Amino acid sequence: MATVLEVKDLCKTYVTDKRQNNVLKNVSFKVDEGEMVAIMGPSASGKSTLLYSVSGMDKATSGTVLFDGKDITAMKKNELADVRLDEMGFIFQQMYMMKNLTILDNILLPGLQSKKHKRSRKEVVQCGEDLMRKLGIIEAADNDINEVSGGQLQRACICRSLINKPRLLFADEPTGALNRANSNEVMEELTKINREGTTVMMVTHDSKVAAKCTRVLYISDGNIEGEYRSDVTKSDKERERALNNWLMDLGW
Amino acid sequence: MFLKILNKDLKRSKTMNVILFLFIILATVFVASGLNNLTSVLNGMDYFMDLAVGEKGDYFLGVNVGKGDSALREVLDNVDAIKSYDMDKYFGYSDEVRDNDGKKIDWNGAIMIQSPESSYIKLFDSDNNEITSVEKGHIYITQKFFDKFGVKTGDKITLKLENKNREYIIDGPLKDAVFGAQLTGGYRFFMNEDDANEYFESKDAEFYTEAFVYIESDDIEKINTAINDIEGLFGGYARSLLVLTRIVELIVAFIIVILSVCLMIVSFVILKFSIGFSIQDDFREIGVMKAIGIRNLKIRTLYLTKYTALAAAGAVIGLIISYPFGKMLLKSVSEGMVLGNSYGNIINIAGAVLVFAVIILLAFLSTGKVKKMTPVDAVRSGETGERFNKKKGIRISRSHAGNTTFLSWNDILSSPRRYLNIIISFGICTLFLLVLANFTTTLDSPVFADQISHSSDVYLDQEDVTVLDIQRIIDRFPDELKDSGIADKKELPVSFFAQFEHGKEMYEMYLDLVEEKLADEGMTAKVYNDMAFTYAIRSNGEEFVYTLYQVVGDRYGDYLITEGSAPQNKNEIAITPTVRETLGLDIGDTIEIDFDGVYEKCIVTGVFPCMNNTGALIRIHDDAPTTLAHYLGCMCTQISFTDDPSQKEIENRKEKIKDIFNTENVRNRTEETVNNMGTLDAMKAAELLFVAITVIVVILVTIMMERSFIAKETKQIAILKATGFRDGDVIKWQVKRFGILAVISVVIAMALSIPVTRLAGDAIFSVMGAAKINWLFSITGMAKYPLILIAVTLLITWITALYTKKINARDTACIE
Ligand SMILES: Nc1ncnc2c1ncn2[C@@H]1O[C@H](COP(=O)(O)OP(=O)(O)OP(=O)(O)O)[C@@H](O)[C@H]1O
Ligand SMILES: [Mg+2]
Repeated sequence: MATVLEVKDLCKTYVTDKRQNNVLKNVSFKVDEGEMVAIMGPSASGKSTLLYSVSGMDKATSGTVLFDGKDITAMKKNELADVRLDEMGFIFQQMYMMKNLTILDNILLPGLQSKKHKRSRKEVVQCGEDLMRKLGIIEAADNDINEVSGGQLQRACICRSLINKPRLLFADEPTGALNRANSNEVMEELTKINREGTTVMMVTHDSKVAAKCTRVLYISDGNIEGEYRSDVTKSDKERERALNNWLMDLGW
Repeated sequence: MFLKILNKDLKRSKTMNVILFLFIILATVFVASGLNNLTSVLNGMDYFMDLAVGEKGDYFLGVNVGKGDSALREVLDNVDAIKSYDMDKYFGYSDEVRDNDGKKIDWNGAIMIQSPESSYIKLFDSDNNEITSVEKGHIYITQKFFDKFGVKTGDKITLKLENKNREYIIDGPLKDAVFGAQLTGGYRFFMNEDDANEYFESKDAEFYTEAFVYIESDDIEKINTAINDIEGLFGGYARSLLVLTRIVELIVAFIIVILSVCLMIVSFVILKFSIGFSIQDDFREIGVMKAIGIRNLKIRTLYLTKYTALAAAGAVIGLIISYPFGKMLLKSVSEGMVLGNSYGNIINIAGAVLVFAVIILLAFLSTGKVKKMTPVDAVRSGETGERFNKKKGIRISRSHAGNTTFLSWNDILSSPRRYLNIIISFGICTLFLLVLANFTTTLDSPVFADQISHSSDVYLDQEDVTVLDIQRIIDRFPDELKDSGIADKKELPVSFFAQFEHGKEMYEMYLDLVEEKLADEGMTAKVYNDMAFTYAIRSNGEEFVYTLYQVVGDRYGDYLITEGSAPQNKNEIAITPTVRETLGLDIGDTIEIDFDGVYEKCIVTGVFPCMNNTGALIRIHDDAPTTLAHYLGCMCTQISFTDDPSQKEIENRKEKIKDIFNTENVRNRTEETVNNMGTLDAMKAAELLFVAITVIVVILVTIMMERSFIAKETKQIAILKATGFRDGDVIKWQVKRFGILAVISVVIAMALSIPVTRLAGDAIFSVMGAAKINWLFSITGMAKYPLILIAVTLLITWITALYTKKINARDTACIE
């Protein structure tokens, strides 16, 4: 299977008030096409930092990040923006949207900005509506962003992240602000999307959520401490138990 | 605890607070200096007059006194209506004046030589300090002499006394409350006492010494009738008349008033904007406070405390800046006047207090929303909880615009009220510049020509008469002209003919000669001169000395009449609206004019507009029996072609006439208007300053507003970047939004500018006796400033929006 993302010796250091904070220390890993990778680890271990560094939202201090064979760390700002627009999708813990746009328009915005698929305006609108229908929020299409529930908003964010059919979807605690029921639904959607071919890489605190992934990277103190491949043939319950055992061993 | 919250708030929303603070300072500067300048301009002449002549400023007389003034004093002492008086004697210089290069200055009007030591009137230098002494060999000259004849401080100027040259070094311009106005033709030559005495002791002194009397009186109408028997009287002026002669300068000053009012409106609009904006910022906080159970009143007090602190500090700083700012504005337009007011600090302080009060009021009203707001509103609503209503924007799915264009329009349509503030501020600034441009365009045109004199195609001044067959005049009046030396004269001004009994006939013959000469050169024309005379008139049983206008020479066409009809025979007259009011005359009324002992009954047949003498004049028919003994002043030799030539042909002929008569002083109608009004130079200088101020204001408003938008939209900008918008796209969105607003403002301002120009302009000019002004609106004049403003707005927004590059896609994730 083709490698989508290859991270080599990634370091990230923040300097605040002359104090150095080495958040990522020589992190290396690979993500293959079609995988669904969860990143876990204690708070402040550098999970979000890792996600932002590999997606080019933040500049790495050293190391290389190959996305589809191209080195992201060497890219100019505009090239990075284009890669994010066309090839990557993002879902954040806080569900930010443009407040003067309706839910549907928020979803369409990156679609119309992208030239990748050379779609007409009508096709983009069609695509956006299809996505909303798929995630069950089509009735909220013309609502304002303050007229929908948190779960609906997060699903709208997923729609937005998928509008350009990205190769890689990043999610930083996508279920963090949701209750269990909503969280399950969102994970359901993400798994479905993954099964349909989109590679997913997400940060999560929730072993239930992580258990649905094909692989879990455990990061602690800026290093990858362990890697866990779940057995796709087993049932959800069994996978979750196995993962919990593995996490326990790592001191979770 | 509140202090702690307050302290944290000041730090947390630092950008918004700093911007609000700057706006408060700006508003205070504009309002405080604006109010002060308003008072100064409206009181302008009174203040200046009081400084210059004190209480003796109710009525003024000009009298030819020769060697002694005792006869004059005797009359004045016996007029009951005169409470007190004082007088200046000056030497009415009438010989040649040469500039620094020894070139003759073609001046006309009156040059008054006097010294500070022997003058009652106070004259002021350009720094508004009274001139109390002049060094020997030095001189101060009325400001407008500088403007009209291009002399400069430090230049040498040469006068002639008893055929000997006297050189003086010009120490600077002086401000003269009585004769300084552009519309009057008097120049004060203020020199050392010893220097001045040379003139007063010369053999010509008897002839040229004149007195100017300053009178304190409660009943100037009585003076009017009592002074008739003063020998040598050549003018009596009420204070109101002298004040009105300043109108030309006051036009520019009035523009300051308009500018100040505009700036004040802009200030209040932006204050409302930024207070509203910064309170919205706090809605979530307010919601949280409500949620934990703090009472409305307490929350409001908390925010009011914050705004009170900001407003107080801002108002104090603004107040301090308002002094130099206001002075700078006034100084630039008051070269010939001492503008100021006697209220001093109080007005500025009142302005600052007003701004302070408005801020507290606005803050109180804005925090009023706190009451309506439930905790849920604040915590749950959208991003920062500023919008509670259904949005009114457009849908991207149905638009055909590009993304950034769509976002810009959508923002504006979603919260039109917020952007209305910008449209109003920009619109007012643009409107001001457009009105200014229309004023300049109109003043720079011949529109006013008819309001100054009976207009003509070409105006000829200081013509070389040796090209004319003067001998024919001598042949007709051999006795009178025997010893006049007329044959050797190079120039023949009207004042030359005034000494002869048949002077008027001679002058008319002279005009005929000019006409013949032109005809010989292939230019058929009527040649005339619109002249002013003073005659005693009787109206409603009272007698006045009044100024009458008459066209001498070959009349061309009819006069401009706004009501009734032009005089058709010598017993018909036309009056100005000013005369109609001051003398209580109307069409159909009659007055009597004392034509050297013969009282002619004249009937008013029409009303005409005229700005000369601020409208205090009557037009008499060409056949009325005037003589040059009553000659007061005139335009110059006026030429109207009878073959209706094109504008281009007139220009050609103008050049040709220059050659024929050997003079540079040939003007077309526009040039003559400018020559007479003199406003244009002052106006153009002021225009530049006004444009600069307006542009700076627009720049400040743009920077502050754009900066507050960015502060507000950080999260949204971050999300756009995270989803793959380039920096350039974000900047495009921000710039387009401002560009659209600027264009909307400009369009509205342009539509409004025409009626507003008419309204403001007619109001100002009607005071001067002008009527029926055909305002000119030129495309280039009106397009220039809007284009500049749009360009400036786009540039400044772009520069300010570059800041968005600093916003990182990561910032989506951080909670403030
Ligand atoms: N912009 C920044 N400047 C300086 N230090 C930062 C910055 N962003 C993050 N850090 C630091 O980097 C470290 C890792 O932060 P990061 O957000 O990656 O943690 P995390 O693993 O995502 O934690 P959590 O699970 O709580 O979200 C923290 O110590 C944090 O203080
Ligand atoms: Mg995190």
